[in-house]
Amino acid sequence: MLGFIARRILYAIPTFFAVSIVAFIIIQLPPGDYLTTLVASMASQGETVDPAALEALRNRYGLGEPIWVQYFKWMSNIFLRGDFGQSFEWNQPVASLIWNRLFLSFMLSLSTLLFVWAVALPVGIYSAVRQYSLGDYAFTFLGFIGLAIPNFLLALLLMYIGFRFFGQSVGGLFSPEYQEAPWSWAKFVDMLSHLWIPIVIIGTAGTASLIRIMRANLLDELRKPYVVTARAKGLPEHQVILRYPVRVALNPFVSTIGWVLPALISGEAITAIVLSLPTTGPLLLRALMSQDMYLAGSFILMLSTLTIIGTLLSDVLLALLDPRIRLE
Amino acid sequence: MNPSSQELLIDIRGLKTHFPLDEGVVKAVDGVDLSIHRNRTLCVVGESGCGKSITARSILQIVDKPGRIVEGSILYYRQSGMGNVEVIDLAALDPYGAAIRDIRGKEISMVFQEPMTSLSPVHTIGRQITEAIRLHMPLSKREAKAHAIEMLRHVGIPQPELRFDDYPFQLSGGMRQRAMIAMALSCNPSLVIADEPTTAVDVTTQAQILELLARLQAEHGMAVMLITHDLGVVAETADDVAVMYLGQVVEFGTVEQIFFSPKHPYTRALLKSIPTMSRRAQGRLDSIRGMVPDPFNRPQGCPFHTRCEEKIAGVCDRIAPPRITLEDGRDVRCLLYAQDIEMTPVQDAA
Amino acid sequence: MTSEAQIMTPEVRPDPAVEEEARIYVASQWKLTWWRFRKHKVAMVSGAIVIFVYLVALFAEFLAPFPTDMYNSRYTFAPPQRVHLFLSTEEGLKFQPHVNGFDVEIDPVALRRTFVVDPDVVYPIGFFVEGFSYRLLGLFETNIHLIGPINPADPMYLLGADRLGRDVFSRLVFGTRISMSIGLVGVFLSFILGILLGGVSGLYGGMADNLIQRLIEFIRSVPTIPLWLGLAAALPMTWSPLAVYFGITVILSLIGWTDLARVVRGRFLTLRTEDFVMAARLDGASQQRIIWKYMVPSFTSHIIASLTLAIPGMILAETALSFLGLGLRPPIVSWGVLLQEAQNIRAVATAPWLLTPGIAVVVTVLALNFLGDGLRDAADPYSRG
Ligand SMILES: Nc1ncnc2c1ncn2[C@@H]1O[C@H](COP(=O)(O)OP(=O)(O)O)[C@@H](O)[C@H]1O
Ligand SMILES: [Mg+2]
Repeated sequence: MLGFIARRILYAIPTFFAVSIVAFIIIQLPPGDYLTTLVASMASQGETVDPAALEALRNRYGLGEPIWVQYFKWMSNIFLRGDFGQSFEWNQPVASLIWNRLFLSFMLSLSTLLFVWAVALPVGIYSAVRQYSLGDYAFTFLGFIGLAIPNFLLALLLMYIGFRFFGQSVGGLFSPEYQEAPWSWAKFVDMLSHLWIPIVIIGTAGTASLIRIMRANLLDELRKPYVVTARAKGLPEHQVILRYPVRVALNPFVSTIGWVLPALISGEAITAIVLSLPTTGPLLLRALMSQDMYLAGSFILMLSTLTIIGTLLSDVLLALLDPRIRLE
Repeated sequence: MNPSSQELLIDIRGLKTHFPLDEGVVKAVDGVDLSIHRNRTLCVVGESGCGKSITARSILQIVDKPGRIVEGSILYYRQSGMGNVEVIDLAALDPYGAAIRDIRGKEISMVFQEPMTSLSPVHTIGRQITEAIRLHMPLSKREAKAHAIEMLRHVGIPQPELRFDDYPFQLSGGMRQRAMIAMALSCNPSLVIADEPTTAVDVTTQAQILELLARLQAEHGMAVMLITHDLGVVAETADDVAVMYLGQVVEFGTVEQIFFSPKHPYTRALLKSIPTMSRRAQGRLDSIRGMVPDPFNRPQGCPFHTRCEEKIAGVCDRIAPPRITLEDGRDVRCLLYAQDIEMTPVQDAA
Repeated sequence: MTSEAQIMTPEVRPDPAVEEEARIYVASQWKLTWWRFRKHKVAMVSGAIVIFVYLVALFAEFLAPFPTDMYNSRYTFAPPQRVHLFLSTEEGLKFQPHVNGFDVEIDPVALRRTFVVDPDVVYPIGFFVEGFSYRLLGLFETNIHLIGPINPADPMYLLGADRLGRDVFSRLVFGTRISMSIGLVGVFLSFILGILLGGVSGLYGGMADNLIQRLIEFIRSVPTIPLWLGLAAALPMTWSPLAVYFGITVILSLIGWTDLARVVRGRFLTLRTEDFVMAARLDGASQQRIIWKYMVPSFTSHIIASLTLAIPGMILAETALSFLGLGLRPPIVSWGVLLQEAQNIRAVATAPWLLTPGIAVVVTVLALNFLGDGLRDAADPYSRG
């Protein structure tokens, strides 16, 4: 078990570096470097930059040096000092901008994952056990529709319905009075009351595909001989189904986190932009639009890292569930 | 050795279990008659696909959907204390009801063909056995565990305390089947149905498992219904034999009757296909002339007439033979004996 | 049932007739697939819808009454007009399809314009009318349009107008061309990548397979939208619309090839051991020949199913990127670009018809998914997804 976890962590390390390289490339893609952009933007505001400060910055990020040195400096600044670079648009360190939003993104994605599971599991079981029933067809059809509606369209639709028929805006994560308030129980409750709309929007597609996966897995398992064995023991039918085939089908279900999580984080980003949630999405888009590359790159790095960690945790969870992995 | 002199346990009459599929109805079991007696071993033989497993599953009402018992009765003579016998028609019970569930695993239990796939891959064998025990016996968790370990020891699993926490994939094929048998025996059933319990294990283990079953049968005084297509096994373990062909029992009698004076042409053909009784490995049943008919297109008349060497033209392909009880007490479904009964008394060929 | 069984029966054994038999095998495979597919009613209907959508894309100029950039500030956010078939004149009802004009009233309080239908203003419309000129399929110069106002200067807004008074219907028709073609081109590029890398992976195995599998795992483990956004944002603003179009397609396929590669690899792996490939190999056929002659034909149906299932992903991705303003840019018109007009909730509230491109997206994606599913089931009845 420990060996398995250690191996998975070892696996995750090269993935992390690959992600960091991609993020770094994205930072480097726009023409010019951070300092030229900075000088240009300050000049446009009629300010000049102190040449000494400029030189200090140049050193800190290794600008002008070979690309791999720049990468190395960027990485070590992050690891050693928690310094993700400077956002020229906000004129603040990136680190002071991203953590709060990353936390909210993480919370939102996690809640959505729980929502997706809570819906997909029972519906998938129902669809498999009552294969070809009216309910099964209905869920299959709903699932196809769920897969076909892009997140942002669903968000627009809900916003339109909210605006048109209930006269209220459905955007945001907090009511105005809590927007700037420090965290408190009341603020948390307020957030929960806003949370369900983005959760439903982000979770629809994932729920639809997980229902289909659970259904297919369970249909496979229902045909296996151990189900007959359980029945032959004298177990009531619902226990036969829940204790055996469902339990076995749970393993591939859990392992879907590996791709559901990246999809949720993707969906979170775009939904947040439409609903203007105070999460990473809107700020990332804005950073990309204004080519505030350290900010954008840091978001991409951290979102991907979150995904890697999530996948790692799902693998550990899978090992806990499946003795064949745990004891190999 | 007249079977009817023994205490009757299960009496199947006219059992039909069909699978209504889109392409047509598969008549997997189509009029099976047989009986199982206390303390005896019944072997069911027949080619693959002739309905042995479905007959066995019908007894416990665990036929896969869309299969269904459409006709016939399965009378179960249940001993209910004080020497009283209660008769239950298992075929009439609701497959999901409490009545049949109370019998499954407790009074009638099953050992399946493939121990690897018949045990759950994600539960320890200990857990799978204690589940059956706790379901049917008023035992605490700890007592159930002790009992399960006792059963594992009883079926010859070394270090049962350790094996209790093993998963099926950690055990060898033979050990797995032993665990399966331990599970089947854990509630001291009056009938154990073993559906080809040795096809998935090697020859040595096969012999051990059969010996184990024979020993346990003697010790526990239960009845065993052993499904096999190995006539060598039948000769060694059976008290009674049911020979099946295309969803019917074509001949049913004691092992002596079947081996020394087979009456049905199919039984004879089967026995002829074994070169010598001792060379069991070659005693497979697939060397009879012709092909098993398609389950959707069952032949008219006697189902065996397409392959029968003694068929009476114009008769066997028209009249479905009824069950005929001969003087020595055996049953046979063959029109050759329909005349015998009317005209001359049957002579024992032995 | 029985006829299928008979056709499947010829098994291919290693003998000189191998080539001939492989041909039969492949041919019957196609036939079988078609028979099984026909049983899927939903997939059949979806197939018809998909064909219809591609026809719209192909004949966009003919179907659209107006060019995409024709605007009229008088009709900003004009609602869809109802088409009336009959005109009441002094002599009674007369068959004359037409739409009515609007009276524009300005609400002095909210400063909003409201459109009131004026039944007295009649704009006759008709089929095969003259409009802007174009080259049909790039070949024939013509100015005939399927439907339009008889007088080309008359307004006709079947699906309403946008904030510049442009005809949403015409733009939707032209958007179909761009969105559907991006789907096709993107899937084509993905497919090239997928078949190259998946093929190498499945055919050679070992080290190459390992590396490619790691790469696929990596790509699948990162959230795609932030990555897409990052790459799309890097496309220089100075690029021409056409260059942006190809840039976006390349970006989409750089991330989208992994599924196809998996399918191809899986197919190669199973086929590598299959009888007739072995037979051809024993026969001394060269590696290349084995691949093209036997392996590729026998999994074409699967590949077509997988390709069909990959198109919706491309369409959805393009729509999302363009919607956010990082994908295609005006003057190119795609469904995503059109939906960008609907980004502002107030705009949607005044002109809900701006969401009609969303309906096109959903219907098309739905149809492609059903079609792909049906194709996959037909190609391989034993695999379920
Ligand atoms: N789930 C099922 N659906 C349809 N037909 C079945 C099913 N299970 C068994 N059958 C049919 O029932 C017949 C008898 O099967 P079975 O009792 O398993 O044979 P065997 O004697 O080898 O144990 C076979 O012809 C088989 O095709
Ligand atoms: Mg069987």
